[in-house]
Amino acid sequence: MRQHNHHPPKIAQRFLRWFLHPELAEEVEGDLEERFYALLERKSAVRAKFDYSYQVLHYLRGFALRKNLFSIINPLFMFRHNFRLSWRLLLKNKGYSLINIGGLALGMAVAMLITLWIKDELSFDGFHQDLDQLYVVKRHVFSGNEIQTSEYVTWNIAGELQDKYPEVENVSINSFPQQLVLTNEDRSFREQGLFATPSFMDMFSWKILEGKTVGQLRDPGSILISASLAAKYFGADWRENERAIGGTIQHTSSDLPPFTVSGVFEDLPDQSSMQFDYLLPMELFEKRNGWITNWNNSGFLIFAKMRPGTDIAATSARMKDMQNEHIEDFRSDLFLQAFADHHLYNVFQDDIQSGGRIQYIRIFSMVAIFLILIASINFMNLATARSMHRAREIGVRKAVGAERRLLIGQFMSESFFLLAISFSVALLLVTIALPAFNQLTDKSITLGAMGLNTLLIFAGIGLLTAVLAGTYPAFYLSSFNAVKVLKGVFRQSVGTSRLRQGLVVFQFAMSILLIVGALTVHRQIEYIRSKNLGMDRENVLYFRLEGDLRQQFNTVKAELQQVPGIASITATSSNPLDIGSNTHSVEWPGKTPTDQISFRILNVNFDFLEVMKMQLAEGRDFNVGFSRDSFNYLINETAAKAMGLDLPVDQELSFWGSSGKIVGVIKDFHTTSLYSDIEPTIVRLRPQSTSWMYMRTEPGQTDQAIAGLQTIYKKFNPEYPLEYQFLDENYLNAYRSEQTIGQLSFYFTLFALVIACLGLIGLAVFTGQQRLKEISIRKVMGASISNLVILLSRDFLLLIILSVIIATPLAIVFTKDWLGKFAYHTELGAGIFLLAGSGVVFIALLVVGFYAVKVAVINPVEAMRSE
Amino acid sequence: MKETGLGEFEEVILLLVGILAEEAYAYKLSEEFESQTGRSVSIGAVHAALSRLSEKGFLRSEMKEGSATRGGRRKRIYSITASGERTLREARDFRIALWNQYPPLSTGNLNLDPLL
Repeated sequence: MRQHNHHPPKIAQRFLRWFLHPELAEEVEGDLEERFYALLERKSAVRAKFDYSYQVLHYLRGFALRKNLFSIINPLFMFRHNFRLSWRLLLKNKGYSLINIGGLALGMAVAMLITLWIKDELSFDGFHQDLDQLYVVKRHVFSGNEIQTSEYVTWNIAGELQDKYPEVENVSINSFPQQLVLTNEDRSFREQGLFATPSFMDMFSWKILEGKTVGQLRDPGSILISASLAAKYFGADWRENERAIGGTIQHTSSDLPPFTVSGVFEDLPDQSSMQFDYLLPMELFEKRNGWITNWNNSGFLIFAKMRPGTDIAATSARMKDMQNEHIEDFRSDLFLQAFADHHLYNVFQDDIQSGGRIQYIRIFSMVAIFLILIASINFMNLATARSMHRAREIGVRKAVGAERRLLIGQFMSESFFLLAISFSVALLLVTIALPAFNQLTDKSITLGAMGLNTLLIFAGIGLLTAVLAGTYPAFYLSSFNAVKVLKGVFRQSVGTSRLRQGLVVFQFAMSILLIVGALTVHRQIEYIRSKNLGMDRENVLYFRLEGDLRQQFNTVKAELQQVPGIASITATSSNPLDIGSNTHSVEWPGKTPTDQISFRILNVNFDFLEVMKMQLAEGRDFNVGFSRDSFNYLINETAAKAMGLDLPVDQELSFWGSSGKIVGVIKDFHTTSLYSDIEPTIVRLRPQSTSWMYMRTEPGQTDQAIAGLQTIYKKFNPEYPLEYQFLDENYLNAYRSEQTIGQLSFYFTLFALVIACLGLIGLAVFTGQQRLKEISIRKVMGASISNLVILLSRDFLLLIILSVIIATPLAIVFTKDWLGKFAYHTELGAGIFLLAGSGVVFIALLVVGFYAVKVAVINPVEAMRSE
Repeated sequence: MKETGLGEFEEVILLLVGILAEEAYAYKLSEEFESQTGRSVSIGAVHAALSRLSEKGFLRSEMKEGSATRGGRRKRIYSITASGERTLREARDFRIALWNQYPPLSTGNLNLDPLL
């Protein structure tokens, strides 16, 4: 016998022995082995082994199989049996199945949509390769008792960080978004972009499509544009015709020579917290803006790339006073925030990180879990409630020898079966609802772009629901005592119906919480909508003051005033409802060194108060007749209070190298968003520093006014596109995310309520059926229909009232917290809670009552005849 | 093929059993099949045919001592029964009868191997 180093593959051999008829074992194994060793003489071991496995597989033929093979693969048959049983049950109880599947599918679908939204939010800025090394320099500004946090910092920080902090690898500076009108031949559009230092290209992973990949933004005459901008200015085939790179783009209204396009970058993904369509070299900005190197001035975004392993907290602490060492009028503490957190954690309250979008992520995660819980509870409740129907089945199964394990398997597979259907329906719902959801949330999520891990999360949601909803009924149902059940003495324990009631209370408590939440957001949005801002924001439109419009303002104004429908015209440096510019260096009589007050500064032209319809508390408006007025000021009431001036009019104010008198005090108007308090504000008459034209139209004559404006605008500014905005629209746009949240919470609440009510219907129907005989007897004995309806509804009503009692305090805490973020917010009276509570009670009563009536009107003979 | 109940593959296997005589067991039969026809076949397929033919009563089998290359395991040697022999002949005669009616052959225009 020759010695062989090789043997037939073990797995194949074992498999053969497993399925092969034992009588054939000897001859077949012998044959196969003979062939194997014969093959080994001629061919490689791998080939021989492969051939052996191949031959084994070819023995999977009827004649050669072990006769008891089917009992070995019995579980598979049990599965088929369970599957078939589940399907029959599903068809037998159509209503019950519909409630279960509908509720679960709805819950899962919403949870999936929320998952998509959260995933999108979490993926912000994730495309930057060195994201974990990137940090934003931010500052806490202390003024008076208030602390404000801002990401716009002073220029000089960048140099200091680069020179004195070895742990800093690279630093970039970019400006706030700039809107410039760019022109190429006859194409002229207003575009948004940034000025940035060359390092901006190295630190972030912007993708250059055309042009050199290094050394961009160095040449002050160059410009980088996005692919869509390239298509806009150089034609859709810019890549083929090679016109973009080296092409020129002119900045309208500047004396600068045209910029040469040195690169085209890929359009930024929606998940980029920085959005721009062009990049210009910072050097250009630097040369033309002398103010930037002053430590008192801020207005740049500065990013630092830290070396791996840096102790960020230590660096952050060390740089805290970098600016404070150079300034006197105010305190500005610098710190680093991870760029990865910039999008989600951008709200600070009193120099402590206090939330931002992450809060909405948390809230909606909770909502998703709520919905799944509510739907799972339906499932559990209905399954256990129906246990009476199935008690006999379980008894018989146990009596003929089914083990508990098998029964658990049966009920679990029933649950999984229903869940699999719900899951498919949920996926379908998500596909259908996605476009509407995208519109609602202002996103562009596509199912196609979803990766494997999203699908895994979905599968996880399904599995979680299955386990949540399926486990308890499976264990509960399989625990029945066969003897008791078959003897007919089986009763449901008080414990289970208590549990069921508890779960209903929990469901409705969550629904009420959601309702109160949705109502609160709705109320606050209504409050914002109707808030008196101290001026009349309606019928005001505004547009950029540029080109000849600026040069010939007075002529333009005179012409516009002839247009019917235009009431009054002024110009300002910024939106008076969102004043960006501020200073700490205002001097006034009686100022003490401890007064560190931040004043908002607004530059205006004549007729400002008239256009805005702001009221004067004291003094007078700027007047064309007083030439000194170009040095004088209007202040708001808050400013007067902050300076501690009892008689502010005619007091002397000075800052930024000029001084003048206060001529009037404007009644307070909102200078920034409703999240913050009204700030001390100084209004200066500086026509040369205004950049927006504001126009009030007569009510109802807006169309006429705009038509007139367009004619005149074209005459003076043919090279600029006229892009006007309405003040009231712009004001509401600032609260878009709140409005989105409002709408989303409305829908989620609706779904939660629908699902909870579905469960309630199921339970009501079930109770009705159970008490059919009781009710029939009561009816025979003379009970009226209303008596019976009350009898049937009472228990449910008590549960709902209990959930109102539980949910209300929780709702108060949550809504107070959310509203607390607004400096100005609606007050929640008892009304909102009463509305939510009574609304739920009413709906529940409607649902239960309907079924109660249905049961109560049956003919007792029908129900009793069977006995 | 007529009422013999013999498939083409089965017929070949049956013939091979007769050819191999004492060496007629599944593995050797599959080897012989491959070398005679040039078609590859798995032992399992041959074994299935053998078991079918046994059921039809065309084959009988007995276990004989095996060699070392098969780990000393015994092998099942098949041999043709009288009924198998008859069926084979019937199949052949039937074919020849058909060939004789085939026009090119019956007029003598076709050069055929005299053995057939």
